[in-house]
Amino acid sequence: MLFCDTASGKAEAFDDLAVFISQLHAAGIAARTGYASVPGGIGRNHQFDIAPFLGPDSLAAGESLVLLGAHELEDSKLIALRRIGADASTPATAIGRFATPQARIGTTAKLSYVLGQDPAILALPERPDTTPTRAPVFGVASPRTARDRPVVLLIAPDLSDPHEARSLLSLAVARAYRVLVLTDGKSKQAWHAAHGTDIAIFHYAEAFPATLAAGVDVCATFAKPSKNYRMHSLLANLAAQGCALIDATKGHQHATTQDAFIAGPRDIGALGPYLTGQILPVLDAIGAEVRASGFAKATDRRQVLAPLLAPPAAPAQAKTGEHSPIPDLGDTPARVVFVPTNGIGLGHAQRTSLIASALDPEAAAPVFAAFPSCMQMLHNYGFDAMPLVSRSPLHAQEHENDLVNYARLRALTRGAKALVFDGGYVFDSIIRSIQDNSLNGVWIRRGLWQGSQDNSIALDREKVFRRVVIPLEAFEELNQRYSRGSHLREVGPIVQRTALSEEARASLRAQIAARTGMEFEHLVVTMLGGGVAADRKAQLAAICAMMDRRPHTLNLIVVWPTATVEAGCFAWANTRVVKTHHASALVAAADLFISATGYNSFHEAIYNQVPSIFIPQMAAMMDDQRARAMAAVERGCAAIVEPHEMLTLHHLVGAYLDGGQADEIRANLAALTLPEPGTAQAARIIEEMAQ
Amino acid sequence: MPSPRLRLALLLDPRFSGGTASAVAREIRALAPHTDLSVYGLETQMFKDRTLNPHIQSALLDTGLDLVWNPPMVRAEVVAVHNNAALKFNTTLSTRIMCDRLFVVTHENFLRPGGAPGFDVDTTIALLEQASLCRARFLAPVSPYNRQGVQVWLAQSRRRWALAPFDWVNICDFTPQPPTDTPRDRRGRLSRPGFEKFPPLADLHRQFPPHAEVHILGGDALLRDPATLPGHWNVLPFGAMDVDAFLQQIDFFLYYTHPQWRESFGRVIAEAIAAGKIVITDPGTAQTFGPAVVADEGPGIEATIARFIADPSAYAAFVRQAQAHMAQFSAEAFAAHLLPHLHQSRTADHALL
Repeated sequence: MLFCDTASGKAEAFDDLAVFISQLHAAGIAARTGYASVPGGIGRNHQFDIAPFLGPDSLAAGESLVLLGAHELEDSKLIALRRIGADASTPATAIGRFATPQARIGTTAKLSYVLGQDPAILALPERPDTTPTRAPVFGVASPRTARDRPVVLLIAPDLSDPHEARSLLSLAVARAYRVLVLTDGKSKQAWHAAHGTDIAIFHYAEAFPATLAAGVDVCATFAKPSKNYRMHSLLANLAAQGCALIDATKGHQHATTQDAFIAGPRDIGALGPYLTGQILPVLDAIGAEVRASGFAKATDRRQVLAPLLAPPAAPAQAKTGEHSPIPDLGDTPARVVFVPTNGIGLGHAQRTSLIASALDPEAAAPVFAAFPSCMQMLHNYGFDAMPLVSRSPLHAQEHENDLVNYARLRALTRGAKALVFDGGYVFDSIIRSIQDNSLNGVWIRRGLWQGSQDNSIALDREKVFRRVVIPLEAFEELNQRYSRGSHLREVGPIVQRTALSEEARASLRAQIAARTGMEFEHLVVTMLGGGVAADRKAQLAAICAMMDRRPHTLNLIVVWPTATVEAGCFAWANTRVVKTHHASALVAAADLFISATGYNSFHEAIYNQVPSIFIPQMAAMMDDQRARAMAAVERGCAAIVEPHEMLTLHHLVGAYLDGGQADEIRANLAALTLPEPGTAQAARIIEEMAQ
Repeated sequence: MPSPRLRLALLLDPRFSGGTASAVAREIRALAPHTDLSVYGLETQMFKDRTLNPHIQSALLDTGLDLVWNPPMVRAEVVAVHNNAALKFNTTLSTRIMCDRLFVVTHENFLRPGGAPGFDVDTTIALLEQASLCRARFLAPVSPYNRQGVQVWLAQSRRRWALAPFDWVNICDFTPQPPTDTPRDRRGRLSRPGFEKFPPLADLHRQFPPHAEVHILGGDALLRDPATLPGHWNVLPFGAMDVDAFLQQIDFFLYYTHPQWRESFGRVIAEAIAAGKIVITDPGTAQTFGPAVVADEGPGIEATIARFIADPSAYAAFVRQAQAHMAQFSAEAFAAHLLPHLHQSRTADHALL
């Protein structure tokens, strides 16, 4: 293992360190840094960059030290190095650009005073202002990710130029290739605001060079040569993979000094015909030339990294009684990791549980990573689940839980084939785990977003997923398309069908009566939602009061086991509180279902033909429950009341239970032609990704 | 007819601080009465933005000598360049040197223990070669240990310089203070704050254990890492206290540098001896001071201190003999030692041409 650090505390030095370690990992070389090496105040992207590579600040047995940017050595770093436990036997290499012999001698001496020995010096070549000075550039050919057509990466095109922007929009619809763009954060934001998220755009710090390069076949760079280590590493990776490297800079500044580059057109408009006419037809031949180029040879990792890597030690003989390493049997069938977010309720977890249950066990082995509130439900379904950490107001930063989750998911998804995420906002931990472990990402993305919501960030993150599975709404007018592309797969509603025969329904009702100690004629199930979006205490109290005035009526307030229930609910004679994951059966047995209009409970009511009165929950982060409820109401299949309309609710309850409206609703539901549920279809899509 | 006075020019960057500057200041005072002395200042890159060392300024005032800054030419019979290491960051030297004999006083060790270069010696020597026109060139070490490194360097180098047959020692003429009658286990060290001046932390902890009263002056790097500081150490940054006052707090001066570095002379040891303390140091550093210090690799420190605490008269006797030994580094001894050598070098066969 290489313990890597920088000789200075500069922000750019830390970025170089993170990239260097990521490149080492991509090359199959274990590397890390220490917690104390992370400067304070680093941004979110850098935190996620370095999180997987952090470890204790002292050297472990057998570790070697690599110091980047040694020519910038600061006293504070010397103090830190003095504490890492290096001694005369610790292999140590200091890398930097030393302008004079004195600079090299002085650095060597200073490091010897804290390391106990002179480090080896790896002096970076002296070139004017266009080569990195802190770390050596080397290329890593990543395993090619599966794709159906070549991917063209444009680096630093001028997105602010209207002509170039129009050309890019035209280029992006080409069927012969897929376009990615790499640019700065501001340009990316401006583009999204103006043109949406149809084109996949990465900003420079969004993904490591090894991750970016893995998905690219052709690169056209509009960025002139610089010292930026991240950029150099990306170009070296592309060369190692045999990507076509097109120089689109003014004066072809790359092609004049590096033989791997082809001088190409400088504007995007001319790039399309150039690609289809001159590059794509001979991509393999170009790739061979690039791999054989002087640039690729100069950045060959075996040559560049040789001074850093000690010869491998002879394999130790296992002593009697020592545990032998666990053999890697491979994943048969392929492991698929499901990650449901926990939204307002457990809808995401329930949906993914249904889909995972529908997987062919010989094609895919599902495991879950989920938040604590979901764990019991998942166990009840028979799934293994790794706990994730929830957000907390006690955390100093709002994404701190996601840093921990990234470390966990990254480890869990190692060796897996696919990661299936169900949620509205794609966490950084999801994106990075998919990228780091070259997974086939599947996003189960329920729609019906509110018009006021800004989902541009979520849609931008769609680019890491190979498939987006869209569970449709039962009623077509509710289905909106938020993105385009061949990676999208619409499936029928994901819904738990609970078909109770008359006998089973009666038996269940009898069990309920016995358990509650209350005989009833009418069974009402009330599920108003988790209360996260809005306080429903008043509505619950009103419903309990209504039910108490009704003879022979049992009202079950059904909540998730982890929910908090208002104490007053326990005081009503005709009301019982039920904490369960098995709400579906209770709803199917009910005469009346009073519910919020979340995706799962709504579709269960519709598909299981349960007469319902909907009280939508509307909050900024939620789906458009009112629209969903109205679609049913307009078909005569439900009723809707607003949260403040308790008198109306009282009237409707009477109409449903005493006035025969429930029977009318049930008949209308039975007459509906509904889409075939999409659970099995979603499972097949995931199985495809697990191959 | 008496020999004409030696025309001697000293060329140095007079902005450097520390013991070397103090020694050169005393040298000016010691040599001025016996030579036609001139002093020239070079503004090197190493001491950029610093000001004239007050000790040197005071010596110039006392001797009535002017300091000529960055002269285009230095002419004398003998030119002594103090501390060629000051040129290690220079790429050019515009001053020209014309003399019969050129001496470069090698205040900084050319090599570190183990043989690695202490600085870019070759560049500094090359600059002086290119800048000088002279009959003979000498490298003048300041101590036996310093001499060893110069010798090895010369053997490896292709440069044609002679090794001076004498050491151009530092003048150490501190006023001796009497030793204490009641030595206690009060130990300390004093140095500039550089990392090279300190041994590894584990060694430092062994040298200054909890049962001792410990004072450290110049522990700037230690103070920046407070987690490594034992509670019983009294640590002050360099310059926070008058040196004399600091030395009054201790009876034993322990001086160990990092094994990867060594003092070329160790003037601070002379200061401690003059202050009436027993000095314990590593055998390499001890070479310069002979019987005036206790040479020990480290394991014998506790026994040595215990022995002297138990026998105050032995403590006092050791200090007095050490102070007597240091008389060889006085200004008078320096002049008596150096000047004959400089005169003799007139006829020595070290001609370059």
